[in-house]
Amino acid sequence: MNLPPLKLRAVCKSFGANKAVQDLELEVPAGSLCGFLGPNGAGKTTAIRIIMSILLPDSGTVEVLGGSALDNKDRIGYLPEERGLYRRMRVGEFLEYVAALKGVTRRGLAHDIKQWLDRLELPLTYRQRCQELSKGMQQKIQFLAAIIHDPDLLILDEPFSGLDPVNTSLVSRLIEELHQRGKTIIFSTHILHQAEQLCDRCFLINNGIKLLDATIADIRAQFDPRTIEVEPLNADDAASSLLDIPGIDSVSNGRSLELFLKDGAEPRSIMKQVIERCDVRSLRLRRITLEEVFVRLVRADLAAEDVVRMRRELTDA
Amino acid sequence: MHKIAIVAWREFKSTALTKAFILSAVAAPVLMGAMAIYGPRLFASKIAPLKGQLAIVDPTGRLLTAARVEFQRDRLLGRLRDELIRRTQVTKLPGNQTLGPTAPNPAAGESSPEALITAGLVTDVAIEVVGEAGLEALPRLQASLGEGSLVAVAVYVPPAEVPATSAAAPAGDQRQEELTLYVQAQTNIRHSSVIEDTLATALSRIHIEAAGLSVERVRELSRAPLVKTVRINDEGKQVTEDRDVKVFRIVVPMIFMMLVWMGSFMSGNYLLTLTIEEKSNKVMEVLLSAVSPLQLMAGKIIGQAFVGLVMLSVYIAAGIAALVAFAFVDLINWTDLIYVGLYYIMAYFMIAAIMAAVGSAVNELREAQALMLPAALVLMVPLLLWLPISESPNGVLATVTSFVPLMTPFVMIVRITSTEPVALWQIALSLVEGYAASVAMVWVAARVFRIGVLMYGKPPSPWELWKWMRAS
Repeated sequence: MNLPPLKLRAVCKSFGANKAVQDLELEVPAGSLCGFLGPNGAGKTTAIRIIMSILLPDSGTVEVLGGSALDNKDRIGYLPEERGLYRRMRVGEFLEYVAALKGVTRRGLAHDIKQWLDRLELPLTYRQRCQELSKGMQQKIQFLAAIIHDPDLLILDEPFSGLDPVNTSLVSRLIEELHQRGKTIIFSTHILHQAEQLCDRCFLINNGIKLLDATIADIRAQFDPRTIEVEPLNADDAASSLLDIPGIDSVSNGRSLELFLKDGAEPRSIMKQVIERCDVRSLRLRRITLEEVFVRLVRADLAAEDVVRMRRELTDA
Repeated sequence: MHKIAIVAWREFKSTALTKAFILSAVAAPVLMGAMAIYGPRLFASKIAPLKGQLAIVDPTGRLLTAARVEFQRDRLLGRLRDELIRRTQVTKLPGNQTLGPTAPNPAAGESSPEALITAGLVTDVAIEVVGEAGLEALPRLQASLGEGSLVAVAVYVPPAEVPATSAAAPAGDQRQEELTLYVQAQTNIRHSSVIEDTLATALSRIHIEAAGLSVERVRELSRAPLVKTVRINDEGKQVTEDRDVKVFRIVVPMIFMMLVWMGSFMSGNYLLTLTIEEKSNKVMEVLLSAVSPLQLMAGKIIGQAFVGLVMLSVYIAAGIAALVAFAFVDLINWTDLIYVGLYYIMAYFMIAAIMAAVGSAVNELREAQALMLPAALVLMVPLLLWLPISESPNGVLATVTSFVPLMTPFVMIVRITSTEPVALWQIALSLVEGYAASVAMVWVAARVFRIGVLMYGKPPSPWELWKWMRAS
């Protein structure tokens, strides 16, 4: 029973002339924790709405938990990007209503909800009206509404937006815990270091086109390190002398110097040359971050054929 | 089906089980009913009795004599009672007390004046009439009026003594007598009109006596019973008796139409505002992850239908209670109530379809009003035309408007509850046509709703709505 919980085949969706999603192919393995990345307006929310059968694709097929999301709504937890609460409803009442709509009618639901509220550090909110809560608290209630029926597949659209660092780590802990219990989780975000920390897999789309679909380990292996981080003893004259080294494309001057390498340049020989030219406190070849992959892939000036080429390279690899 | 029920229950609960709703929609008619029953008694205590002295300046002394007769308490109250019956055509007090037959034998079954006063229908009057012979007393009398020792001053100028003030009045011309009444500026209108009417009656007494006739005889002869109109249908059967019914014959169809109009509009309005609230709160997509748009809309429409039914039942029950209290219960035609129910459901589904579609398409109430305007205009027509329709329930106007989809339920209610029977085939056809139209409207609304609920930004144009409807 290791059917992929989510499978998209050649899914297209346009709104008038705007192609929101083009030829999207996705296959999410069971039990994985996937980051769905892309800049604002990339088509993430549209793709998620198609997955949820809220929008119907113009063409292509979507298979969620072996059928349509409509048939399996009670097994899917969904935190939409456009989310809210009934302002005048009490928190407990709202969660019970959502749970009932998801087919949870068992006794003791109120007790479970109270326990969850305690875990989310929202004790004593059960009888409060939603409008009395702060925005961050409302966000956590919404997260709880998405998982209250213990779904097998969890789709979270920007789950961390509007949360402070403390609550962000609280919610990420919960997501990790659900992942460990074997749930399949997909979450979209444009905050990449979160994805990098949490996900075991990610896909990246821009302008409705999938640019990347791989595990985090694969991505790191695939994009070899292209940055050398240098912390010189004497920062003032180091930058200019380092720029002369053949193979260095540019130097960024922050707290430490970052040397970006030209294509084909050999990191080992460059690092040797750096040591020869100046005294360093530290020197390291930096692992590529998702952020850099992201920026490299989503360059606004990328020509359409470049995108297609890059996509082929990335997915065929 | 289960999810539709959950949505419907929430919709009902969040609308009907709120303090605001219970106060506005339920308490209002109950209060209105209570006012109709107990109101007269409440008001009764507020009408102060008319007591005190009336001074009459009468050089002849004739009016003074006549006024003393007419201002006798029993006679005056009896006259007020007859007047009341003639004006209202109501012969029964609340609690089945008879006001007494209007004519020709006033002796049998009369209510005592005290009962009428207690019921607040007649002002209690105790006037003592005092006389003054000369006009020179007028300034002094007016001063006493100001001090409050007199309630009114009447100045009588008999016909023969009208002074020929100018050439405009040629000699020998018969001038009318004149009677002027002075009262305080703050005098209750009901009090002054009682005095005016009684003085006029006293004047007529002088005229009758001057002609050498018996006053009681003339009054008895000029008294006529109310004309009793009985309506019969084609088979010669009695349909309604007009005696106490004239007003109700016009008003009942209007009341029924207004009930259905208000019931369907109020619950439709709740549907609209709740849908807009769900959109603007952004809770819509959370709901759509659990139910389909069609289930959501069906749940909302059904939930609000029950809200409307609760309101309608309360209003109708309050109305029936009021009619029972006034002993007009035989006015209610029970089969009409079944029709009212059928047409209410039809009207509600039409309006709910419009409200659901508009509510799903807009982001705030203000935008909704623009989109609703065309439908609202059509819906106003029955409200404007109820009088001609109820006066001529089988006329061309009534027949044609009966088959205009949005108007059907309202026009048909007016026609059915008015006096002329409506052909059965027309009722059947209007039911078929109306329900077909409601189903079609709900279907269209579902197509708009499905797309509208996820659309944010500027409100759609009618053209865009049409495109949403056509979209697969």
